[in-house]
Amino acid sequence: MDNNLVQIALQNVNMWAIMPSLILICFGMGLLLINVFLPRGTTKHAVWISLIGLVVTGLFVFKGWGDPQYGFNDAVALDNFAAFFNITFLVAAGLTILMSDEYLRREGYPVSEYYPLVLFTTAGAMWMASGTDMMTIFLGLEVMSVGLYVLAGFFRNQVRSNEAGLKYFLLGAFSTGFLLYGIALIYGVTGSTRLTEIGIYLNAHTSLLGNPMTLAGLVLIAIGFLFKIAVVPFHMWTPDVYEGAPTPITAFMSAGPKAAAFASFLRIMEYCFFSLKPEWTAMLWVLAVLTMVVGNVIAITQTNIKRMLAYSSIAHAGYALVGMVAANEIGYSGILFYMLAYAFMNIGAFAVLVLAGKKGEDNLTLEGFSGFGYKRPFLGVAMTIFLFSLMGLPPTAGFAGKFYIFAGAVKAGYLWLAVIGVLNSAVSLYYYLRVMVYMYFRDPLEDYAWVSMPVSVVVSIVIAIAGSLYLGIVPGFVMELAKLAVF
Amino acid sequence: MGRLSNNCKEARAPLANVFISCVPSLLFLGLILSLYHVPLPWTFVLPWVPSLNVDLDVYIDGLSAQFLLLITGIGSLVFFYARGYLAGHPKAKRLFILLVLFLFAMIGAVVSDNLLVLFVFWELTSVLSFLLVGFNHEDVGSRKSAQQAILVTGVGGLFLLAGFILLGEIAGTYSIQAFLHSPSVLINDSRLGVVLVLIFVGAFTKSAQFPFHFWLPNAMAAPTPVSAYLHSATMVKLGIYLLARLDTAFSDIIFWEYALVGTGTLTAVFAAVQTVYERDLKRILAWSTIATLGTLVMLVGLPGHGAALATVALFFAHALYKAPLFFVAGNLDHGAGTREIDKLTGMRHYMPWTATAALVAALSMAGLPLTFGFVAKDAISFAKAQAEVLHLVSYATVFVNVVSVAVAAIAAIHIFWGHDTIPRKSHPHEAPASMIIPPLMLVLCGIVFGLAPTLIDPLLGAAAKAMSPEFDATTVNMAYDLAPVIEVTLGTIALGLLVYLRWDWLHERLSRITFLEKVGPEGWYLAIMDTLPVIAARLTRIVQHGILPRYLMTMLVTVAVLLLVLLTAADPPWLWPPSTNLGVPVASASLLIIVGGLAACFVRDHLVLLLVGGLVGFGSAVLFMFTGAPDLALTQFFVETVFVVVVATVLVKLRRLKIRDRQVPLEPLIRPLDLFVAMAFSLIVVVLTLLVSALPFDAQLTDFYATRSLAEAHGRNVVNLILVDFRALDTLGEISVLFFSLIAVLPLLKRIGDKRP
Repeated sequence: MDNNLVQIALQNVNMWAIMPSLILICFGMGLLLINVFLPRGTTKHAVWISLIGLVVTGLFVFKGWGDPQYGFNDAVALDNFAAFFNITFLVAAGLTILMSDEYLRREGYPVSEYYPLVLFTTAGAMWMASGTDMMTIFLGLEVMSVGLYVLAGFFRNQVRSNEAGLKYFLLGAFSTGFLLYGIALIYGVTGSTRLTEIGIYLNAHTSLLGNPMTLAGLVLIAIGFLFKIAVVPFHMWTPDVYEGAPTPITAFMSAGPKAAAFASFLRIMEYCFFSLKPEWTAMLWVLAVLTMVVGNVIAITQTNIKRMLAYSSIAHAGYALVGMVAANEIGYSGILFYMLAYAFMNIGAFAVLVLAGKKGEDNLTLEGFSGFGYKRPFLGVAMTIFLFSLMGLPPTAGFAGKFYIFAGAVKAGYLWLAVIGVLNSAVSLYYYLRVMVYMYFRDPLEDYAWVSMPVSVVVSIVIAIAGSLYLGIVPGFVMELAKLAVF
Repeated sequence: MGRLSNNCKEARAPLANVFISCVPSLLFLGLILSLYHVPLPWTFVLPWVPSLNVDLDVYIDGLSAQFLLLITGIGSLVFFYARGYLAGHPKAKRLFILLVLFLFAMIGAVVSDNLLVLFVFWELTSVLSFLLVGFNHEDVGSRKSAQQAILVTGVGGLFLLAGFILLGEIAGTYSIQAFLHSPSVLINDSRLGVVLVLIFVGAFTKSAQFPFHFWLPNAMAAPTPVSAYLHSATMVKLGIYLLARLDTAFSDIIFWEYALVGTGTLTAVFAAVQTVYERDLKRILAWSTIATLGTLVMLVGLPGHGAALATVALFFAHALYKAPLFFVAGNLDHGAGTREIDKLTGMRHYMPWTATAALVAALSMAGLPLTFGFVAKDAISFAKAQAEVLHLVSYATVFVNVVSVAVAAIAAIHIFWGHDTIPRKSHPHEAPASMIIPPLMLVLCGIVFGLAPTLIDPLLGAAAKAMSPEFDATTVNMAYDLAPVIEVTLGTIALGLLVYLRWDWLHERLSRITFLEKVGPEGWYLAIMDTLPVIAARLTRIVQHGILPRYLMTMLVTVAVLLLVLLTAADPPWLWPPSTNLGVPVASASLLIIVGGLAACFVRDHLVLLLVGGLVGFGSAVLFMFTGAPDLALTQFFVETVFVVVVATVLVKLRRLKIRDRQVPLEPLIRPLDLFVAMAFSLIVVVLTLLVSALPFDAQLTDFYATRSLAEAHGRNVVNLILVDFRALDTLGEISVLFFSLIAVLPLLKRIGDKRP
């Protein structure tokens, strides 16, 4: 091979397109190195360094807004779409890291390797959002998932945590298998892994659209992502894993990786399979309804708040899926908006849960929250705001997000889907309100004296409150950005 | 909401309370002054969510102004009253903060011109109502009622949102005024019925119409000022406000008219009957409020501008007499310690001022001449005459009026003027001034406006004009026209007094009929509340059993079903690969795989299972070898061997540790369900594979390497060249990663070695 070819190959690389994730990876590796030279149990530096890494990455993402970068022969694109999702991941990771230190210390795992893992996972999520080639997306998915498998089972001596890690790994490996199978089939049909090329090829060869291979490829790829999004009936791992994993990781998983899966899923469906829109919207219609109904109905029986939030996250994935069924500008930008809003409100709720527990005993039952609102007014108000946002009541982020998504569905003509979504929100009032009833309308059983308010966790709660309210009261600006971000 | 401020010093609280309690009065005064100086309507625009054309448009016309006056006016008195009612209460401040928030939410709801903004404030009032009803949270009943109130109104609100979104999408605008000026797009749309039903559900839940009425009497668990304000004067009227607001657009639609008149009448009659069941004064008042709300809904539904005028007049009159009666109930609670009408007679001796207020309010409620209640009744009968209502509706209205006269008589005559025969332990006493002045002021207003209706004419006219544009505000004349109605009025009052005298007898008789409680809407609500958790629990048991293999099976079944559906939907005819003669090696390799797969289904021992699984791997390696991929076969052999050896070592070690033998029940040898799923899934995969191999092979890449390997890379082994030449950079990367991971693994292995004894 002559030098000319090499130069051409390198010209197409364009490192700027992966710069945000590169920065994060560098911070993560640097942190790993630093950890070697510090005694075990020191974690404060890790928190700071990862936060700085996240902020630097965030600044870089902001700077690149409106200036799309394409690299690696168009296998990676840092466009507005990726940038918007990157911000969501960074928010999720930042809030998670802020609440982690206290929790890990309390549970007796002050291990600084935790933080690089979170950073790597975030970088993987970023590749998923900016991947424009099946292989890049798959790479991102694996980087993210492997990190999550470890993080879910991070408490090595707790059986629940082990179970969470193992279950997630086994089922996740299966779903990845489906995804790869699907990618292979689509490659076989179209001869490409590049998303745009697949789309153009399929559009040009309409005879292939009805081919069983194309359809099977579509379904198998979809299943790979539906598993990560936790759509019924691929949701079964969610409650067990969410309950067993360390609480901050549960919070992270419900916001960051879920958004990442949505990002790739959206891109693949829109870039590759736009010619098959009627088929996949029909499939997602059924799955969205199933997801909303099962998530909400089962959440009613839960007396463990962490588990209840796990089911509610399934239901929320169902709402977001409604935006995909709508498959129009408002629906898609609604998903972007909703994911960001969900990161704030759900992680905020988990941060309150982190503080409400004590060592070895997470204190997550409803009974355990009796009178909590009176004994801990700040946490009570914070939880109230997050719950209202999760219910979708105005003036919170959850309302604005749900509104956009349902408006998109109505605009696309899916009136009944919107009505089912609204009815599901009504069911969800029941179990969210129950938490509030316990917090405010019950006499305190305990004095909650153990609840300490470390600055870092309070900061994360305050940021989450600010985000939930800002997106709810003035959603216009962010929604405009989300609109610019969709294709 | 107000929890944060509870930590403030108690000493500062009263001053803060005084300040907070002045908020509505200031707003009220400002409003009156502005109304005199600036002509209606007032409009402002603030951009909010430009991408969806959602702006904070404020539009205040006569209808909004009337609501604003009541919200701030009654609000001032309620706040004043609450200071006396809650004097010394530890959580008084919390109540005031919630009330102020509620006040602003109500104002926001009635001034916003945007449907979505209106909805936002609408839901806020529901949420605040939840917090206010549950104010006495120590009481289980209070908690249940609060939950019921927000569930019913909140769910109704969500329906309303769906209706608004649909309306906005069809009409192309979320601005109420823009929509009202050109409603034809919606009127001619086929989805109009859905929009109307959704809006009805929202408005009826909020305004406690049948069959959603039951939350309102239960909400009486709230403190009395809250009941007077939210559940009589303002919040429950929000639904009627919305209907009145949209009346101009829909008034010509038959469905609109029939639905409103039907529901309103049914609600009014049902509530009137229910009144007789009660012995608690506050609950009696609640039911009579529902009856009035029903009448209001019916009036909104009636066509003609007379109905518009009647609506606003009754609305105003009701606020002027019902709020004082609630205050009276609060005073009785406060002074005599009970609200049971059986234990309250002859109270005028102890509570003369409260008695005065009660009497005047009751006169207005009964619709006696010279009171504003009479003016409202006059307007209603005019409206009915103009709209030519069905006789049934007329009779229903008369019936409701009779009962409301009886209720008025109970509230005034029975409680305050009856014989004081009941022995009491403690002496009832009059309420403090702060609790007497508000009801007296309101009943005074009622009398003033009753004597001189012209004072209020312009406002009512403007409000009625907002509901029916053809209404000419200059011709409002609420002057007395005694002749046609006086007989009816007298007849109603006579009948009402008769009902009053036989009240206990009626109560006795009606109490025996209890089936309503079981089959009524509240029964449905309770049934839903009871069955929802049961269903949820059952579903959880089915879906979430925690067994990993079952999870996997569900996934596989779903994938299989999805693929099956797609395969049947795919375009026939399918391309099948041409049948070829299998050579002996390929056939034997396939046999090896099949035997391995089948054996794996019938083997229990993990070690044997592993070996059998290895058989499948080796079989595929052989398959590769004879189908032109010797390098792949080599890799497969290698990986398979290492895998089997490593896992076998682990298994043997585990067995030695006796971990496996711990109470693990032996699984049955044949599990039909699993077998079926496995067979079905593999069958589908086989079909897929066949279909794939039938597709023409894209030889582009093979040709590329075949032609270039010798010319450019000077070699003949294509696979080798791809690794070390064409994709040399990739290989370098892979090797580096491999070595890096080795570096990481080495210290780990070393550490494990150290720990060994």
